[in-house]
Amino acid sequence: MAELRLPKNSRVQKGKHHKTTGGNGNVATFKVYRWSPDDDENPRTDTYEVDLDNCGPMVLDALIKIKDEIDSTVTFRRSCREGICGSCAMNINGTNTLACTTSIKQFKGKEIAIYPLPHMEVIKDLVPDLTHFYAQYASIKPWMQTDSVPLPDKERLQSIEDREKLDGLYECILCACCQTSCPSYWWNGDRYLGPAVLLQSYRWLADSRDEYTGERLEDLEDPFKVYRCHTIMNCANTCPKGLNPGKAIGEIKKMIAQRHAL
Amino acid sequence: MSYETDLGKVKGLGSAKHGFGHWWMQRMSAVLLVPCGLYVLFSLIQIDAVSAVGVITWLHSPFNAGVTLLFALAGSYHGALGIQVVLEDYVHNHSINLVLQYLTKILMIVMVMTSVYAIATILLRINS
Repeated sequence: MAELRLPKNSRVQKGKHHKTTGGNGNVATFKVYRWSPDDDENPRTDTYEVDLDNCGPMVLDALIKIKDEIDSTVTFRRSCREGICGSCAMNINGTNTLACTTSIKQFKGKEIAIYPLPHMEVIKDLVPDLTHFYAQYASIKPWMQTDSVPLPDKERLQSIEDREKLDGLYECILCACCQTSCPSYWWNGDRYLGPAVLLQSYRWLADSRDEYTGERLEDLEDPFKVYRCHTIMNCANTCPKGLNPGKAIGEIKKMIAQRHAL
Repeated sequence: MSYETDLGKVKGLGSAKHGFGHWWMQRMSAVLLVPCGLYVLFSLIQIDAVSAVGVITWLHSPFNAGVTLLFALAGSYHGALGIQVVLEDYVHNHSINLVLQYLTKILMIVMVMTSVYAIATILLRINS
């Protein structure tokens, strides 16, 4: 059944409050989800006050400052700090997004709550376990599949119009923000491929150079793999890159319909 | 304890190679329900829907009876398809899911039979 309450050992408790001395009033408060696999304690939310006069503009800057200067045990993924690697995807004030492209200013001094991506198993603090998501991604064979052999000195050509069909798809960085914002994925994530994986699926269905569209559609036609999408559209709402996975899923459904001569 | 890999689990599910039919019929029955539903609703507002005699007289018209029957059949079918999705989404206990899916189908058949019987009785004036 759907889980409406967290299990007892997952209920979040109030944690420590780390005050700041500096800041001249220019201070932001961050409430950060904490959980460690190394003890038997329940998760908790620690509060950190950060002096914004000595901090970069983004939420990720604040997290790095907290880790460097206040509490080195805070754990999170980060890499490129410019919205292209997708590592720092987390839930910030109720929205899945990238910490590195989310400015602190937009919250206008209100407390900023930071949780890991929802409904995923937590490895530690803000680090969710994405193993299953990556396996689902691998299962759709996210590479160009062809049978024809091009001449060794030729590239596989693509017209400008065909290349344009990949716009809005190739930009996906697989940060899993949309995937973990989807209620359908929360309840049936073991079988439903989810918005990110389906957008990637459509990226290869839409590629004029790929020759396995038929096989790809056959693999997708399944009550759980695709048709768990009930067009809730949280995916499009939350995507930090402004993409629309819901539309891509709609296109997959249209392609399947065409195969049924409809 | 299992050492099965995540990729093994995901690929092992394979594809049922169906699901489109269900999705398509959900939409088709929904499209049918709009005009039929509106016609029945506005007709019942115009006649005295509280009095049985008024409704029976209205149903004596073959057109009215036909649209009402179509509304009842499409509604039962659409409802059953919808409940199936809700059960698949939320009821993860396999046995309970199977029983509820079965009961849903039975309920749909009973609703269809009742609608056909009721409307046919009135239209053919069997009891009047």
